[in-house]
Amino acid sequence: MRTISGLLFFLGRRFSLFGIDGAMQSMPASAWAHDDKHGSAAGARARSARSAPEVAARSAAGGGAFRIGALHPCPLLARAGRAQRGGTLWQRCALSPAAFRCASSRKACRVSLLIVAAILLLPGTASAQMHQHDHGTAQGCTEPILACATKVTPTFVPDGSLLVAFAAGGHVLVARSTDLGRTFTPSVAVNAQPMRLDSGPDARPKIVVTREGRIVVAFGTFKDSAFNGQVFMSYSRDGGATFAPPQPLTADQESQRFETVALDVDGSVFFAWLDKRNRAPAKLRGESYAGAALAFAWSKDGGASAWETRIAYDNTCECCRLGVAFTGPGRPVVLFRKIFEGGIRDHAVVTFSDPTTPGPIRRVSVDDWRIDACPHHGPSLAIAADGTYHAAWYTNSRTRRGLFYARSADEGASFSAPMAIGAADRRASNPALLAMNGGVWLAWKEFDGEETAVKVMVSRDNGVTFTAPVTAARTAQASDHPLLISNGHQVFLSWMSEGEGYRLLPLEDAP
Amino acid sequence: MTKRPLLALLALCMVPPNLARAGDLQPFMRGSWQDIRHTHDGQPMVVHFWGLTCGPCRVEMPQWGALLAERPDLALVTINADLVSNEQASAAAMLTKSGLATAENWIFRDSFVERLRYEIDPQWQGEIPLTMLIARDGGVTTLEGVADLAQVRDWLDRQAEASR
Repeated sequence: MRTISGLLFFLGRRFSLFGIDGAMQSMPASAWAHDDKHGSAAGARARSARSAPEVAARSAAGGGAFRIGALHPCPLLARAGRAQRGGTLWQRCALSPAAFRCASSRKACRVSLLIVAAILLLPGTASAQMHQHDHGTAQGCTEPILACATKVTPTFVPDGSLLVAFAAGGHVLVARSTDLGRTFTPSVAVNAQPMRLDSGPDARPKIVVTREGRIVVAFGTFKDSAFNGQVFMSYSRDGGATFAPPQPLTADQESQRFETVALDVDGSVFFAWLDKRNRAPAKLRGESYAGAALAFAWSKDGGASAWETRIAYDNTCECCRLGVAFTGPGRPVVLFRKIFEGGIRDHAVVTFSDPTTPGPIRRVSVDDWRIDACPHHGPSLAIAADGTYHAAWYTNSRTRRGLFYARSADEGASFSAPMAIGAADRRASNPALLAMNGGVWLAWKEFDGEETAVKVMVSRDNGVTFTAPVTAARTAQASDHPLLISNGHQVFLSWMSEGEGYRLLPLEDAP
Repeated sequence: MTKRPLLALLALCMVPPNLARAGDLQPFMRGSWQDIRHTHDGQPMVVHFWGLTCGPCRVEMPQWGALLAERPDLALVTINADLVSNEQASAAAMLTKSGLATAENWIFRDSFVERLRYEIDPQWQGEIPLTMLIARDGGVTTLEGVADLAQVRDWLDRQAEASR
């Protein structure tokens, strides 16, 4: 036992097993250097973080919302820890102890090292625990801060500042930047208590801001072990200082996922999502039911409440995000992967004739991707001022594989021949479209086996022809989907990657 | 820094001998695919990719369990490649329930999933279920979506005949 005690003492001294605090004092210079070398927004945050440790103060108002410090040393440390590629959490703790001295990471390290100690004491009985991870710790970063986010959704506010909604540590958080993403105010949590957020690749918190400055947020959660989903919405009337307690978007208890939020010109908020409420009744009738349904609801009070849910169509693919845009006031357009006859999962577009009347289903392209599987790879839709629809999507049929783009000048009644996007041998994926001032921007990811690149191309003739793709950003670690955003004057690529943190990169000037 | 070799040695000593115990899932990380291919080199192998959030997968898993019980010549490797990261215990429970606890079971454990998929098949974007029939000579037949197990049986028969 003396040997074991000695070992535990050694581990405790070396890795804060028994709680050595003062992380700032004992942190090695290399932990900073890892971040500083990028010299960008992340680097700027790193430098300011030196003099501004954790800021944490409870907000008195706002239904229990609270502030969490954005200028926190942990993201840098945790990121340094994650840079130790491969290995389980306890291995990373051992390899990079300095990276795990922040509150939750320290706790995770303690737990993992205790497991190691248990394995030493009871060899062969704890092997199952060796590879036990929860969602958060698999990423090695569970702090509710921007640097720990895997998904970041941006939006510009009428005053020109940028808001981002992101998920980290079981919270959906909102932060504001007044310098185009270089620095952010302390994040504000939308959900006071951590929730089991939908962590699928096509899930992300949604955020829109009305002309009056009211912020509307929506996000998906898993409510049981079978991954049934529930969508919540919240709002802020004070510019994001506090958020109302999240409310279910619909009272129905069947699974809901892949919500999308879009803002109409009059300030009405349009919610569309995939909903499984029609599945059980169909089965009771002895009918088969493929996929989910395209559901929608409106909020006329800035996200405080939503109108009754309506089902536009049954039999959508149940695991792909939606593309939503407006073709006129009260006329949303939804692009989605539908399950056509014979289990073919191709894309369709629905144009609403008024706020509650979805028009006919129109097929974007006959790809004939017959598959009984979950692609988790949804489309993107943009509508230009002249009403032209721009659609981009992924398919993997025998005749058509990869990313494709098409346009429609007749509200989706017909689309141009699909145009292949990106390098065929580089897994082009996750397209994003933006139309503004006669220009159309298209961004996507490519992966060459080592690095992920975000490619961008622009059309100056409303989607008839595009420029050659250029590389806008790269990473050699995990990354979010690329998103395009505009402040009305300029187009930006918004991209979160594990190694580099959040980036808002201006693209070329509008044509 | 000087203590790290000692720690590495310490970590090595801690690896228990029964890592691949029934019901355990091995962490699939960078290089794991090459390790699996190397381990089974020269022998026919069926690799099945699945996930708990994938409805078709949950229906298909017990069928694989039945096939494993039926065919002693089936070298089955399952890889949990769910696009929503699965917890180890839940994945293990599903494997056990499906009669697959004795298969060689792995689970994705790297946030950079694009790289994991690329090592397996540069064209694969992550759709599951997915099955790969890997022949003695290394030739790969990919079955997208729910596999037709009659096709798998035929393939196993052909592999057995080829070895005679």
